[in-house]
Amino acid sequence: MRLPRPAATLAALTLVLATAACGDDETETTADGMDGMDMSGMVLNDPDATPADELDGDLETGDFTVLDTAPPGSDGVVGEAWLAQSDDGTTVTIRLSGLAPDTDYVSHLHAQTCEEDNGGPHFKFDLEGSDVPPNEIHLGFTSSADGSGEATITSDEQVGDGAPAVVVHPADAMDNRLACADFS
Amino acid sequence: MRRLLLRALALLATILAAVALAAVPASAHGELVDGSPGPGDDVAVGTTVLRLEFTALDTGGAPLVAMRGPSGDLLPVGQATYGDEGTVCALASPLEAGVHELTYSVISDDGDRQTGTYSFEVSEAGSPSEPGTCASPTLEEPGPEDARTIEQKSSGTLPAGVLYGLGGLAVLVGGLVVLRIRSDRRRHPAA
Repeated sequence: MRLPRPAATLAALTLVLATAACGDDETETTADGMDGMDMSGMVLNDPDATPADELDGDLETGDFTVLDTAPPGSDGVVGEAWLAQSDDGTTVTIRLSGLAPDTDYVSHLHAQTCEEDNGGPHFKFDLEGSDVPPNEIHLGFTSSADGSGEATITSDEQVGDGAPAVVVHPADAMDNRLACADFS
Repeated sequence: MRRLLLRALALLATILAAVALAAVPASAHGELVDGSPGPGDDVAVGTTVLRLEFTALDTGGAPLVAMRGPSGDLLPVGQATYGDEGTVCALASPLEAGVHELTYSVISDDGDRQTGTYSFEVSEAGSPSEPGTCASPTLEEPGPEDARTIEQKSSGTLPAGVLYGLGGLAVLVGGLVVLRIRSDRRRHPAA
């Protein structure tokens, strides 16, 4: 089964053109830069990692405050976040309660403080790079039946001072920024 | 004859691969920046105009808006239109008290379809909505048939990825025809 060489070349060119079209035209993407891969294909929670609040080194912490963009009924959400940095990289841990039970949540390090536009854009190691890990730091968890949840994630790189806040969203309503914590 | 069949199979495989690749997702850059009602808002009972503000949109693509009411049922929302370059407008039936969930689907200025969902509250004590630029366009009144999901509303229109795939297919078929004609002419030159 062989196509004539010019025909095979033409077929390959067609495939390249079709593939190139994927990158710059109508493709399905969810809000806030999330593309669905986070909940299905990426590690957002490492239960074997040592939580940031148990690590030695440069440790920052902050309390979550409920944002004005939170889903209705979120007033009871409370929690704390920790950011640890060392020569090994960065570890982030979040713990929250008062959440909707048995619900998926995602979280990201952000480039601005909670007061500045509810955390502003996601923190990126490379500003021109991808909007998914490892160029960003994402966390995710499913709340328990009592509405609590936690996640820990690590990165080989240090975020330095570039990620002053962490924001939590319901996974199925990403435009509802639920709660934000400033690290200090 | 067998060779022709194999060629047809090769062509079919190429077509399927091209269409499949054309559907691979890529990242997007558009972002919802404001709305009335917006994420987490508490708006007044009776609100009808929905306004969504984005960083940048491709106004050549049809915006879609769908909404679920407090009971989870889909509510009628008329065909969404553009208020200006970054604004999408739609008209809903007067909203009743309770938590609502709005889903939108728009084309951002980089060509990616951007879909998102957020919830907001409707209450007697809620703030009046702020239609902004959505106050001026003539918005389509919602009918019972408008109580559909984003997926149902978008059916019937071919995604651009599929259109590119079909375009590539046309190029491929045309090229193969030209090559076949040239090959035949070489084998059987005119006297």
